[in-house]
Amino acid sequence: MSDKKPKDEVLHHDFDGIQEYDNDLPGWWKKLFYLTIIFAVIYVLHYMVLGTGDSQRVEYMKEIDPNYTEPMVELSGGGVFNRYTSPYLADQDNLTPRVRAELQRIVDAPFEEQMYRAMSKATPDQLNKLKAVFPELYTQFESGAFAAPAAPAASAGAIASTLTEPLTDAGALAAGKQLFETQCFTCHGKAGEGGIGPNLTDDYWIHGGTMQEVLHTIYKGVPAKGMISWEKTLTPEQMDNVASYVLVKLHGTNPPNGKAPEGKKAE
Amino acid sequence: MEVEKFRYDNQIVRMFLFATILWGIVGFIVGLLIALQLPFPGLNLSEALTFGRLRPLHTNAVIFAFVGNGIFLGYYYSAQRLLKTRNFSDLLSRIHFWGWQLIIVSAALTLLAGVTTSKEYAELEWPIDIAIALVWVVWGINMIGTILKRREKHMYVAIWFYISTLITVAVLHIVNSFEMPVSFLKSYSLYAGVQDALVQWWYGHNAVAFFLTTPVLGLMYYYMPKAAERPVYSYKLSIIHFWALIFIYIWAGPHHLLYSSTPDWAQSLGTVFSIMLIAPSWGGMLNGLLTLRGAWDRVRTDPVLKFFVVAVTAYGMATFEGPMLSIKSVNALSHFTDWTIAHVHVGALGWNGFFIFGMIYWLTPRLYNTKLFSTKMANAHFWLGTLGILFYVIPIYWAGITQGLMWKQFTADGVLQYPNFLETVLQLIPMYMLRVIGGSLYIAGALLGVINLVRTIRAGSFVREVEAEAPPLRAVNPGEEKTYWGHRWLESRPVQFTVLAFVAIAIGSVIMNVPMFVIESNIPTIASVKPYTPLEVEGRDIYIREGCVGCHSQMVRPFRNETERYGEYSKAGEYVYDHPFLWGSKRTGPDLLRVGRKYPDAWHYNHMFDPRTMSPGSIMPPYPWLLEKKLDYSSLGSKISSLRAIGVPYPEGFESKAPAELKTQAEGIAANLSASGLKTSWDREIIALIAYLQRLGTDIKAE
Repeated sequence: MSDKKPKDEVLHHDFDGIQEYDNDLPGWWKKLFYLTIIFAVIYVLHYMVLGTGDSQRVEYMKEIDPNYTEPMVELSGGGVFNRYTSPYLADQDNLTPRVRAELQRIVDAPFEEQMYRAMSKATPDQLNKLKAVFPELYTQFESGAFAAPAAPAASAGAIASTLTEPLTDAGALAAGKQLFETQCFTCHGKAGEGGIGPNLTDDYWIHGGTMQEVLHTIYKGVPAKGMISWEKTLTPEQMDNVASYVLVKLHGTNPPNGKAPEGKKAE
Repeated sequence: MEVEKFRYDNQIVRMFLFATILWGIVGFIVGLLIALQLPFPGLNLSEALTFGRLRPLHTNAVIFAFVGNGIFLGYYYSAQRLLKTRNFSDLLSRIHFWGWQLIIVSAALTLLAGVTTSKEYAELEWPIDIAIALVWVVWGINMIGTILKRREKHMYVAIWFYISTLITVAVLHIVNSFEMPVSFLKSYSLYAGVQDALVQWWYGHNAVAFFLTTPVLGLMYYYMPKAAERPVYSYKLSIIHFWALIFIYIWAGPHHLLYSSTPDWAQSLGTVFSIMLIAPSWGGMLNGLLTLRGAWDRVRTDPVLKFFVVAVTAYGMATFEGPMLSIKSVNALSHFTDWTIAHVHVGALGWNGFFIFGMIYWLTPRLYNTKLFSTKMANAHFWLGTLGILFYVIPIYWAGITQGLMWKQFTADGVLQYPNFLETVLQLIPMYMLRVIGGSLYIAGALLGVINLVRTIRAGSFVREVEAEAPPLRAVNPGEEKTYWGHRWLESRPVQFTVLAFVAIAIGSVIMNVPMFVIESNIPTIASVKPYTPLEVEGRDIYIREGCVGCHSQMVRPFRNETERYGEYSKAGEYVYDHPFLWGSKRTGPDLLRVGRKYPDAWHYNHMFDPRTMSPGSIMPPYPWLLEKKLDYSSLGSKISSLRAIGVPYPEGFESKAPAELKTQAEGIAANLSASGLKTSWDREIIALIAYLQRLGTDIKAE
């Protein structure tokens, strides 16, 4: 393993009978140590000095949107000790090579792209002015010709299912039942009689009793009242099944210990 | 030449020997109980015996009681002989011993009672913290005193490691324990949020480095060559790996906080210093293993050497794995899972446990002037222990990797494959059962060891004092004295040596901690983040008391799978009023940062009464007493003023309004519960806990 055989020369001293050789360090050990130091220097340069390595926030934004590019933000005051490593500013607020390259790219970019970029960052007020001057570009921009990197946001109100009538085939209903009895029962009761959540067997609905309304409640939840959103836990098909089960099988039964009606009576 | 006669004190060694064995067995058995509680939550037998309270008891018992006493045992035997003098003061030795045992007993009692600061490996409350500091200083005076009256001009490498342990643990313990007392057994960490996290993991990581590593390396340098009867492989290597180790170790703490709300710069430094630790750590392993050259034939027959070989090998594996876990992409998978638990048990069961067993098998016959009762039994202990380690760590590595992968798995449609956290937990139950087998084997081995030692002790007669002689230092004729340069010179200058070691550990300590306090951009404030209400403060203290942080993190990492599962990732500014921070280090249950307003109050009420009603199959302990117990908010006023004193902006005079505000909020929650058919009085502990849980992470939640 080592470069040469250890010499095994005992030092003249002993401590309570313990003697020491003074052999050279194994060569591979020294190489390993140097290698880790070189790794450390490169790593520090990459992430902390040159800014060529992404901060964890940028890494995240890229995971959400592979085309994400970091907008220009000023960070200064702490040098490498800033909250985020600053890929934008080197010491004394000099621009890093990466920022220069990025600026050059923007300058070289076609006029349209520059305008889209400006529009994507404009305040409503500025946007109105831009709209007045460049109506065509604005239409293009509105149509999404230039996709601005969107920050990850809560999904909007729309739901993926377009069903307006519950499913009635036995397979879907059985799957819905199975799901209801493993997930929903904790709040709505095994028979849908209600508990923490409302009774699902009566004609009264707090958030509407049509298929679309029930689906919407399942997808988005009603956080203020404690109904959780299931769209990230269940697949669209599972939610179709369970909503159908509620409307076809549970609705109209009159289980014992039913919770008092809440909400509006459905027509 | 003039020769002085003196006596080595074996009595103090024997005292620490018994304490090591006793606390070792206690620590292992508590570990076995909590291992059983995971697959069998019914074993959370009572309020004091829930997983949340027993886990810190296990870690503290093993680290500070078992390994702590083991270090002192090994130190008191070896230091006298390496320095050719009796301990500086027998009185201080005894104060050290009894003080340490008293601390252990009070730690056990307070932790079972739910008295905890919740900072890992620093859970003990402020009066015990002060006692620890005092006892540590007693050991320090005794050690430095012994070194100063030595009859050996140069300090052997074991002594270097003892010195670095002494000063670094003192610095770590004192800085991390700054806290604002509220009452005799309650305090709040002086630091908040990100700052608290960085200080805590600078401490926590270096507790591993300077409590579980450097002192044991010191022991290795004495007992390994002693048992092998071979010279230490390389003096040069000792010097280089000692200084490199203590200088580099102190920087590496933030590798516990990768992908958290700590600044990127701290994380990057944590990573690179961890990587640079491989060689210095392996230097220790090499110097141990290569010392055995020429004695390997004896490893086959001598149980002491067997234990040492596995211990040092486990050290080498753990110190290679540690740096690997500090690489961001590996950590993204391993962190918060059982992988970490497996990693630390390679260190604890292998390196620390086996080294101490080997040392005890070597020492006990010498203390009792006899032979070990049974080499066969010791060999059986060795094999049971080795199998025990394997049966422990392999299933737990498996569990960690399994769960880490399950958390991250997306379906082709881009949704989480295992959105229900519980599903990923239930997958691990068979592995948890296998671990119980591993732990039982390890304990069986240790019990066999106890029998063997008792029989050895009975057969021998205790040698209370050992006569020795050596010329005094001053007797060396100055003219004959050789002049030394470089490190040799330093080894004969304990004061300069200590100062230099202090400088070595101070550099990294300052650079890792100070910028967090002086550079504002490190913690961007968020205007919507407000201090906790009085009821939430009380609820948070219940969360701390029950040890919830042992299983639930409050740190959503910036990964798509985590933001899908839990919600927006954590921001540093969200934690500015968190004294102490409660990020946690293990997710046996899901992250709770964004649990606020996710479920109705009634859900939490039922869930705390019995988690399995709301979450069938859950392995969380039930907390029925929270529903019964009256909320004691008699110290609310001093909690408010203590928190204000450390920077939480409660208005002046808020103390007098707080109880009424608490009542109003509590009545609101009670009314909510009653609307769901749960009749309860507003002044129960559960109400405060619900208030806290419903607040969590909502300050920046978009409506």
